[in-house]
Amino acid sequence: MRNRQTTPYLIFFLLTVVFLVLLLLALILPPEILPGTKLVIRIPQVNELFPESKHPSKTDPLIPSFQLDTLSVTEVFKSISPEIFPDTLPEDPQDSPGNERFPLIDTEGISPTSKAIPVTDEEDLLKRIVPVSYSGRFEQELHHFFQRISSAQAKGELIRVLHYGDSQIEGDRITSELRNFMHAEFGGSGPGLVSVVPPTRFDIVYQTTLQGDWKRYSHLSRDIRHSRWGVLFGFARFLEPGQESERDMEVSFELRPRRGHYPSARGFYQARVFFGYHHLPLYVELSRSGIELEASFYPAEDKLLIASYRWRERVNDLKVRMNGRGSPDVFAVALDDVSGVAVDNIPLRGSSGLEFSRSDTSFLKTMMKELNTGMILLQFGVNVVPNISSDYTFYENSLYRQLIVLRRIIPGVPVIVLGVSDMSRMERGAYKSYPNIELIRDAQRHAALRAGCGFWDTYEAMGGENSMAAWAFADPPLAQKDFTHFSPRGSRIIGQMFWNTLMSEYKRYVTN
Amino acid sequence: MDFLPEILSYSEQSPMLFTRSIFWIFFFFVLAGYSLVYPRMTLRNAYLFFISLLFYYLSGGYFFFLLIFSTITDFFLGKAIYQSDTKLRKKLFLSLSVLINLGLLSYFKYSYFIAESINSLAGTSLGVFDFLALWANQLTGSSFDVDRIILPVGISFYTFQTISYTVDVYRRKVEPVRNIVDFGFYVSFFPQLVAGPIVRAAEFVPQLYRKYHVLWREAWHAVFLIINGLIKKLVIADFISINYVDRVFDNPLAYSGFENLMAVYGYSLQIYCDFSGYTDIAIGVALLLGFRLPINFNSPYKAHSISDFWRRWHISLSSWLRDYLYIPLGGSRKGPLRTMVNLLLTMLIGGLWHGASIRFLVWGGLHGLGLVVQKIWSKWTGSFRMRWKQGALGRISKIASFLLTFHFVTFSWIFFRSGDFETAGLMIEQIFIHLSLRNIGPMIHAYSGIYGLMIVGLAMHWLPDRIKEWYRGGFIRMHLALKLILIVLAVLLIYQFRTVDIQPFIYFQF
Repeated sequence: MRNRQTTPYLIFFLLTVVFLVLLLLALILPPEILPGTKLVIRIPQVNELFPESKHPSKTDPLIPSFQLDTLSVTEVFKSISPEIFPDTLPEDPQDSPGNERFPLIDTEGISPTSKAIPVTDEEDLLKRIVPVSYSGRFEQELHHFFQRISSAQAKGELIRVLHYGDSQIEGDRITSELRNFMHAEFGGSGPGLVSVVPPTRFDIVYQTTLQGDWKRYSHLSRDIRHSRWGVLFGFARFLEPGQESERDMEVSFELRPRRGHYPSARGFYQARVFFGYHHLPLYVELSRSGIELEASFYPAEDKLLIASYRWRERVNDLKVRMNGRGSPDVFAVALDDVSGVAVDNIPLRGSSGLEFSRSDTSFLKTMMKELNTGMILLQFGVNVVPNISSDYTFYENSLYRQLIVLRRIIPGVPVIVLGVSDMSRMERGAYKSYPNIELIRDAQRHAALRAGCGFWDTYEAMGGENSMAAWAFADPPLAQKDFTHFSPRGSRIIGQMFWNTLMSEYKRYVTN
Repeated sequence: MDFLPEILSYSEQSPMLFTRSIFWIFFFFVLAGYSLVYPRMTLRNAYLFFISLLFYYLSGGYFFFLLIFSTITDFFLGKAIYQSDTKLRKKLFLSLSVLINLGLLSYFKYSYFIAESINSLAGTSLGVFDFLALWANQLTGSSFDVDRIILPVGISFYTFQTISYTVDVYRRKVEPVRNIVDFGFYVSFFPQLVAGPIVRAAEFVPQLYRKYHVLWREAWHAVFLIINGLIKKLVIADFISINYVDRVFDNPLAYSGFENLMAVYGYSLQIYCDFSGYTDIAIGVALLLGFRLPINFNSPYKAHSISDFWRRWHISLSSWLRDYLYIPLGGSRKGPLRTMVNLLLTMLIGGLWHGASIRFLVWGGLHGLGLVVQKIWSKWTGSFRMRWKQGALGRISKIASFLLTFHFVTFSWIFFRSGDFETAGLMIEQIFIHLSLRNIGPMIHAYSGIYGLMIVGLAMHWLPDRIKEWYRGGFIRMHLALKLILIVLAVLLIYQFRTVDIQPFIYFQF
């Protein structure tokens, strides 16, 4: 048989047999054997044997031209009954949720309520203005922020924007774009707040070279009994809490910029080291190129201290030396301009943005005030997505509590929630959005509006349902192949889209 | 039958690829038609030419006009070269053929690269213009974007193939093909059209005039190659790519040095399984139709030197570069220095063939340097090596050269795969500066599926040839019913990997 000749029709016959067997299996077996288990076996279905449906593939256009089936901003607003806003303070009748003014943003010809926004490439994405929805006094607060930053340089004031987020913003992603635009528009320089021991290995603007046994303690550390984490939700120590050295220890950390970041972030005019809560005297010295700039002895203190230095010229490195038998908690190093805007990247990996209420709020308040916080951005949600549920009221209420905590700590400071981004999973060979993205997005929006904050819909900005797959398969890719995180390029686009939204409103503020 | 119009219409979103079920339905109908025409050679060749053009249209849209243009010009130039009575005329026609083919390839593949290089050097702001789109718009009223040049599918392969034809005619290694349909069939034969192997006229053209003759064992060998190729591509390459390698290469600093290192090993396996898997399928499909294509990969990561690697990796390209570039440049006949220059030049051009970017030049350059260093090393250690070959020292030397070659090739893939130099630099930094064994246990545990698949893939690759022959032969000798069961099981296995949920992002550091 093996040495006999075959013919194309015999091969055709065999191929037919294989097809028929597969067809038979598809007809008699269920789509999944042992569904819901790790040993699930999927059986190809008849419709899958024939031409595949048009789910995003490696060659799909960036965003499929589909009807956005997300609710428009106005519709969501109309769907929320006023009684779910117990904590908003509609002092001005116009601020009541029923009287929201839309669009907040100058849409430049694109209706924010448009349900069909076919987007095909990056340029189209950047043309889109996704409005911020809001309630309460948010608009006044935002305009007050604009007023402060537009006069910051003239007044010699430095105003901070704290950008909190989950792993989506790690490595200065999205923040770096906002910072760069902020610096260019309103002045400022430097990377903002830097951790002595970075929370992740991710790309950071400034790299620290450590001498001594520095360790990071964070809100996730089990060996810390207090919750005085500070604005970065973590601090560094060279000795464990409660530990004393028999002799003086000399430790240091040196900060230098990494390559590949925007020039405005790679240099600074002032450095401030935020530390304290050391139970033994401490010597702190700031130096550059071996030249001592500032040095002081600090007696044991149970409060936040700041060691600082200002330069006339822009510098890009700093060494901090500490000497003592006990370690302080070193909360952050702020490397900034003396005026303008500072934008801080604060990633909390694995977080859903629910840590603020668990933090020592009076210390958080002290630090935020000391830093002259002007605006807070919260960008969480992707860690909620894998827990699929049909009801996210629990998340809405938890997030709402955090927003209320923030608003109590720093009243009058606008808080904007940047909603969950799209996230995909594989469903029978096709990448599809998780079914709960819109529920989470809506929960975040409801929480933000209830708390009198702004809400920017990242999911809608991306293009809505299945946009993550389209972003991941775009050429060049705008998202990573975990179908969760933006690529550096995608982060720049999202950052720029959010900036465009802010600037549209800024234009409106200026013209009014 | 609602799906028929969809099969027969081109869609940029769903091009015809071996890895899609649509191709196998297409092939099913192709075989049905082929069963009727195969005994009559002229009809068979015309049929396969038509099918190949249709396949090209389904894979690359209207660029099949370009393929027809290449076919017509090289057919007539081949004839003109053969019939010319003076060497000068022969050279003139050959130059014209090379110029047209390389011109087309350069225009479609390297316009952006050339424009960007000039812009960065001279500070100009040159752009590109798609004359083909303009011509199509003027002729048919279409509205193709004239400001964007799209790379036609398979152009790198079929232009090299047509160049080899006219050069071989010039060198009198092959006679011109008798009629244009046969020549068109040679240029466009669909199994190898999109991703090779690059088939020489001398190997393929004689088959045009042979009757269909495939033994059962050859047919089962073809089926084995197809299944093997699909598993390599869909089970190994695509799975580790989407769930691990792409993520790390997208953002190396989000991952530890160890994860970066594993991603580079993973990419070594991925690119091999991807490329060789595709050509395995091509060779298998062609064989079922009665045509023998040359072997293109021969366990390249078993190589003991860079030159050995290139004798095993993308063999049809490396032999093309040797015969049509390295040897015409002088090869090793003009002294050691010229040999080294020729090696470097050949590998640089070979690198650029893979993609229009400096990264591919660097990749090719690295391999060129590897070959040069190997030449120098061989010269210096010539007499010693003869002694080393004996005993334990020989075995150690063999293992060391194998490990060195594998790691050199793997390292060079960083430049091949990275989106840009910055990413490549970051990856190298993560691997060479920030490699730490901290968290290695949890990492291996978390990525156990991916790493396990990588280990299985590489272990299969490194299996001795006799074992590979044993199971291949076992499949061929197996009872027909068992073979059919195995094929169905393989399809089901592939389907599991195609539909398995993506691996979630793993956090290692809180």
